Amino acid sequence: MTHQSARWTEPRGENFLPFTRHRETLLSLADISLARNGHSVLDHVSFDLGRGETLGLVGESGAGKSTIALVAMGLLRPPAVTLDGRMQFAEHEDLLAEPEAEWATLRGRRIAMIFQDPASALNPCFTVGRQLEAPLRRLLGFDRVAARRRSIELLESAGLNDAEARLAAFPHELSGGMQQRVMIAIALACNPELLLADEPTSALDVTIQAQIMQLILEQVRARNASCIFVLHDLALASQVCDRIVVLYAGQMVEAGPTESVLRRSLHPYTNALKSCVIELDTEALTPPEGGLPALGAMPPGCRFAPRCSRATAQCTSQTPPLRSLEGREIACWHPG
Amino acid sequence: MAVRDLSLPDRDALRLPRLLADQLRSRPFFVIAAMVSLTFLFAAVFAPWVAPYAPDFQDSNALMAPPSAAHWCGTDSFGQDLLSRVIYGTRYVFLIGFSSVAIGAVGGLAIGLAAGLTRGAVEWGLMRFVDAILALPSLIMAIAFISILGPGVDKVIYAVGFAMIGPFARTVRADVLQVRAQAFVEAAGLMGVDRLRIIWRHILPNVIFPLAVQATIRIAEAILVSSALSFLGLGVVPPAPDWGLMISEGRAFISIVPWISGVPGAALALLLIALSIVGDGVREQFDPKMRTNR
Amino acid sequence: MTETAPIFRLLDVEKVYQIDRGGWSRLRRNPPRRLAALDGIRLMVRAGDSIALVGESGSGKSTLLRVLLGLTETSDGRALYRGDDIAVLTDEKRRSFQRDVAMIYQDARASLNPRLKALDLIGEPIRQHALCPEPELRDRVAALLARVGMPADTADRYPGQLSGGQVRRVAIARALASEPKVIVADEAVSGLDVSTQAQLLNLLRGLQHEMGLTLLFITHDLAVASYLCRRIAVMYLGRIVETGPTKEVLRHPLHPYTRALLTASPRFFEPIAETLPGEIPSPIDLPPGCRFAGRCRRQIDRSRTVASTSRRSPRRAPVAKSLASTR
Repeated sequence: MTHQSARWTEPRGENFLPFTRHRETLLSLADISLARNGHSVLDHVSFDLGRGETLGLVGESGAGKSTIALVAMGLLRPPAVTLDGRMQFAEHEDLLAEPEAEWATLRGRRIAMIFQDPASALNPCFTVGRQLEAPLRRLLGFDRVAARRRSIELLESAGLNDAEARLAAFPHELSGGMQQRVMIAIALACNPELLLADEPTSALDVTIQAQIMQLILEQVRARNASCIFVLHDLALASQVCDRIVVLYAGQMVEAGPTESVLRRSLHPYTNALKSCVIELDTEALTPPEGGLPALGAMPPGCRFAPRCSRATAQCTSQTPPLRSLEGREIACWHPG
Repeated sequence: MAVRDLSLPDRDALRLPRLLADQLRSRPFFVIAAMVSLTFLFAAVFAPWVAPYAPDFQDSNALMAPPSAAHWCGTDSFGQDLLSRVIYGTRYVFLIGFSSVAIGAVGGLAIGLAAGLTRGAVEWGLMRFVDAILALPSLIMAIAFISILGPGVDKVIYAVGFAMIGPFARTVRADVLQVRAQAFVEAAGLMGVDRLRIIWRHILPNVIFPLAVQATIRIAEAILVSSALSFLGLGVVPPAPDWGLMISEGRAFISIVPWISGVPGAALALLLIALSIVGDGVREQFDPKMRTNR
Repeated sequence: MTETAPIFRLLDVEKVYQIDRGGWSRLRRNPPRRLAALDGIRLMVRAGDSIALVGESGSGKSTLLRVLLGLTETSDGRALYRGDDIAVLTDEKRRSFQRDVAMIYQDARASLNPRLKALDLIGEPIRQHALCPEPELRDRVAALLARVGMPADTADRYPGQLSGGQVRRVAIARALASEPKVIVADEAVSGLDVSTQAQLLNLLRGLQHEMGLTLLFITHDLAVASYLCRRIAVMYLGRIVETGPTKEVLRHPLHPYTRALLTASPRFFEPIAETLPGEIPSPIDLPPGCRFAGRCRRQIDRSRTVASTSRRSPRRAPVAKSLASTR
């Protein structure tokens, strides 16, 4: 596709794009493996993301969710880590092999990121306006007046009232929710095709969380952009994601449409995660014992086997391959 | 549930040669600087065995002799071997450096703790005292002291040590304020742990470590100030082989025989640079704020 | 009805911070601004009770907790522990208070001295209250560690060597060390993985049942509140707006704020709820009337001016809302 024009596409409000089953693939990760200091952090992670699709990466902390987002953003690259596999993004066939200069043309402009903690992602020394206008002027070549006008539009569409006054505010003068709205406005400033949201609401109150999630979805859909959410809350993931990838200790264990993965989970780990989710009417929680294996001490075979109730000798000796089953991909010897 | 060991390196990494090789690869400057500092320290401890001559031996055949096989670094205007004097001078350097920093650190710890733990008049008084010390540069302060106490190695130590109390007290107080605001201090109070015990077990250990790091950095400063005092003729009394004194003695001949000042000057510069790098390295190692991977 | 004696009683507790505007304002003698962190809090905690305090950040939950622990003095009203004012306990009563009331901090790692081993951390309250002779300390700590599901060799580790979930367990073990009767926990399970959170919730629930602990639990998660606590108090801007049995309040919330909190928490496969507009306002110089009025969908002129006070709904404890019954 041609390069996105700098022109502002009005959000289409409630008229979301209809859900289409066959979408053009925007991002495709194939066999991504990443190791840091000789320890495997990601192991053969592969998934596709269609244009206009939202995908959720879920799992416990240490599963490699955020690492995937950083790889897709081009922020984790050799020589800091060893990285194998292929990443295809739009017309770029093998982005991981391309030089930093190529990444620089994509980052911020076509791939943008929202971080977990807006307070530390925003620079405390500069006003909101300056941080918002910077990408517009640098990446899209807006002049000062246009950048300012566009900034106001962006802040308004991010749900900040009194946008003009907010431009002169410093980040610490805003609440956490408002800071995250500013972050979203900055991330969407260049109409990116891919938005990466790393736990965008875990630092916020539930009421604000609902607002922010709604905002991200609206904005992403209005632009027909794709979005990868890194989430630890399965219930929230079920609300916002078209598809879900469940990760455990750097490996994909189950991936597919949210409905099938979360309603009829086949992998014991997905089931275990579901059993940890606490709801108002929860009478008893049955979480799996223990925690993730240490980075240097991955068990042989299925990495979840030591915590799995269904584990057999096969599980502790052979690594289960990722295979298709009932409309999803799953890596388990004993699914069901 | 297995307890994961998140921070301790495995035992192999603790073996000395491997540790040294690792360190040399990751921080070459630190290792070189540490070796230079240790060489000076070695020279100071074993001066009588290392130095080719006695520090006050005067070779009347070689006055102001240039470096030669007999006198590696040349001789001064009295025919004294410069290398030997520099080596013996290292003793004064370290004696003054360590002792005055010790005085400064202990004094600073006492005042800083007291100021950090109290409120009101006591804190106000102590901090104004510290401000008074800080108002004068340490060299000026030390000069004032020497002029009251008179010259001598011990007096230099007192003077430089006293001047150091100010900065140490400041950092200790800041650390105390930071530590006492932490949840674990409040938690100890809630459990009914009494005040002295909280100070001893919870506040002091968390203040001592940054203080020790601070001390290693300040040694270089103490040495510099003491050398400056000697250079001005206010510190160590001749004919003691003090570096500052030696630089001062060679000053008159600097254009014709530059080595008389040059050799102790170079030694001083080398040691100060090495100590500063070591100090920074130690801080990187122990200051949690500068550590990147926990 | 036989009721056990209350452990904690808060009688119209108020906490107002005066904010000095400084500079020119002081010269012009403007009155300092008032930040009402707590406003007319009435709460009773009986032995064996479990109460959840919920609300957004900035609602005054933590200030209330600090008042209960005697860390913050009240501006008005009284906070009583077994009938005595917490601020002025006698030495003897203070000692028993320190032993009987244990706190679990939100940031467990910060609440543990990083330079002490788990043995000394957990051993500290034991030594302080001389609960066992020194030689038996290690066994006692090992028993406490086992109680929270940690192996005995944890005793020789520093907090820096433990993961987030493990540090919380050590913090819980320390809270149990003085054999307390009341546990006060501030967001003790937030910011953790769902699996770790579930493990800790089960641990706390087990402890509460087996040891008959009284539990005061601050949380922002209604589901956590309903899992652990029999009673709930919903706070908004320094006031308790609704309180009662947890199941009852969550099943039939009367206050629109409680209802908003309920709908905001994510539920499987339901679309994101119609959200509560705006954010919690600054507690400085609050306008008169109901504090929730600015965000309330049902507010009419009446609630703007009539300061709502808690009143009892026929079925249960106070609902602070002038329109509560007209839902």
